[in-house]
Amino acid sequence: MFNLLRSEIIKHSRLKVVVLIGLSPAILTSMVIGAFLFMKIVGVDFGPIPTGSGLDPTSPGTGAGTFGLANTIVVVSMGGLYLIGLVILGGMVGSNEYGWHTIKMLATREPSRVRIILSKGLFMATLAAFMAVVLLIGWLLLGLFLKFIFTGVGDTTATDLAAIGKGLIYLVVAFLINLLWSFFTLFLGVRFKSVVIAIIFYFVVNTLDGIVSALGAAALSGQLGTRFPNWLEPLIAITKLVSPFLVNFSFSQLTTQPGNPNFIESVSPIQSVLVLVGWAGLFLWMAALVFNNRDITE
Amino acid sequence: MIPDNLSPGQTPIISIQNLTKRYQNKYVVNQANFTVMPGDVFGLLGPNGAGKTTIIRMMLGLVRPTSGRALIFGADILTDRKLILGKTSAIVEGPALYPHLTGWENMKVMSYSAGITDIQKMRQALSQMGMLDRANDKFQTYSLGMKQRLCIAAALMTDPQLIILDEPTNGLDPAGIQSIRELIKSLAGQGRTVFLSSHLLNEVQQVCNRVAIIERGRIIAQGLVEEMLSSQNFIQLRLAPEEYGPAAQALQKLEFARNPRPLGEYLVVDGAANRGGEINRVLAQAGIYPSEIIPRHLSLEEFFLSVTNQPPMLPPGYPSPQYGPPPGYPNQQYGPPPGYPNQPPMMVPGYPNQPYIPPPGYPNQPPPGGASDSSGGNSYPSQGGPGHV
Repeated sequence: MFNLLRSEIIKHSRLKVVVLIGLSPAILTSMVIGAFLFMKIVGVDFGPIPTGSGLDPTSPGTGAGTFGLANTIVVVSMGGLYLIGLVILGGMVGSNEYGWHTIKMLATREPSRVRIILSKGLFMATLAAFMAVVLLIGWLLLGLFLKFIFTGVGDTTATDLAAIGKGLIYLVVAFLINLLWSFFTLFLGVRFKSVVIAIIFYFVVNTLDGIVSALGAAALSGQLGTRFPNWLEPLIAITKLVSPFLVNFSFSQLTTQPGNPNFIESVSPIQSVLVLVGWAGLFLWMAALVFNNRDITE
Repeated sequence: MIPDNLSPGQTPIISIQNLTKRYQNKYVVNQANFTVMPGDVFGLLGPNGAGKTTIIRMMLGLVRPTSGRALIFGADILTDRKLILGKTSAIVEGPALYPHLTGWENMKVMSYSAGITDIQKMRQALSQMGMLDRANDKFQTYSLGMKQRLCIAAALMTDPQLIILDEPTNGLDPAGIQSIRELIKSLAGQGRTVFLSSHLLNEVQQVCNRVAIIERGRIIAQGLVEEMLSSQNFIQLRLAPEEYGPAAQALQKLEFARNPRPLGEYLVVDGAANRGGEINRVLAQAGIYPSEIIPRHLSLEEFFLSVTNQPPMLPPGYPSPQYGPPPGYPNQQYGPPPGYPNQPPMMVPGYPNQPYIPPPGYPNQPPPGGASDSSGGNSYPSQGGPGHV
């Protein structure tokens, strides 16, 4: 498996788009640092160190201080970019062998088709881990840099440690979600042999998942109230039942603090972790199943 | 059709048993049977779309058969994939590697995917195929011949006992074809078994010791190339038309001379290409002196055209030989495809004792412009030169 992973790394790391996406956390963080530096040079007064993440009141709590702010900027706000990047790469990794016409060669080597798919999944996991580590380093550097450019240093050690703890959890969960969706597009890439179709399907499924998750969470937390037409009741009942097993709901559960109105007390974090692991495994298994049972006629 | 090359105690490298692939109602491969023995250079010969690549795909487990089995090294690819692919390398439908990688990177990818990490071995394989100096260039910049060589170098990394090449010389220039041909011979010389598919008959004839001919999914002929062709030789005797009858009668004394029949300006006698002297002596004894004696050995191309029911392309006035299985010939390995009716020989009008044997699958009618011709000649439409496809 390690050798298969090595071959996946060689064949994908020479693609510019992969390098660009893989290094996107570093590029984006550098741009943010550059922007702050520019503002500092031109004499913008940043004032005292912020005490809350503050940029978006609906965003999950990522802690206060410069590390909380840095996390909000490069992890939370830009999280969608990393997600899209990994989703695109998942589709590419699943379908590229068809475009390169190398699928026959690959499928006639000794490793089984299941191992081939697993190695691709492992490559995606490696890439996601790499991006997460790069982002982690970038975030911490940005946090330090912001500490330098903000005035009124003060003793922020406790705040910073709390922000780093919260931010780490958020970053890890966010990249697990990214990886999960990239497994989904990897499956779709294998199934449809097309990145475009994989991405379209991903958007449709993720949107549906998001709508049902939000509806279910609102219903479960009582935020939905009771002022809706009777005919919607069965639908609401279904969303309450289904949503705890959806991706976006589980992500929200794992990144929202207890006490937040969006946090559902009746759903444990362990269940949410199991749901995410289950979906990730299911997507990989489906990719392997499709590939294993397919006649390769390309 | 029963495979002919099974000897007791020998395990075939490939044993194709009633292999069938059907897509909806169309049989792409229909009840194919053949065996490949260790050390063979086996050619699967057939026109484009005949089912060659589908057979290869089924052999390699890329496609599942509708029925029948493809046994490689005595094992079924569907259940013993690892065992088989560990000892087999294949290039299916042209050289395909990663276009954005260099030759060297491609070698690494291919080697790693086969569990080989020996850099020295990779370098050696590239060197053997003459690719070392272009190893740092991208695959997409290679010529077709170089791509083919790189793929073969990668295929040989695993030291396979069986090498499967699908149309290995497709699109290559003459030098490239020659180099692949030499390579196949050298692989066979190393004791490896080579299975190749091709529609290039000359190529197959030059490198293969055994062939199977496939048409519309059916194996319609198979055997040793040498045997196939030697059984299909004939001799042309230029005689006056009134001498045809006496000559045919005189030749009955010779056991090897079969099926004398008029064709154009010649009397044609099967199985006699190497016995011109004896033919001449017997005819002379009967007071018949041919003005020309032309020995003809069928090329694989002509044999192929005959069994696949395609008219050979001959120059104007060139007599067309009657190919196909000689009647009553022992150890016959070709003839009508399985399931085809055995049609009785047809008599050539005007030559009551000379049966016309239509090629397998041909309707029981004299060939165009042939038997019904007042001259009794039998000429196919003439196109191009002898043996030109």
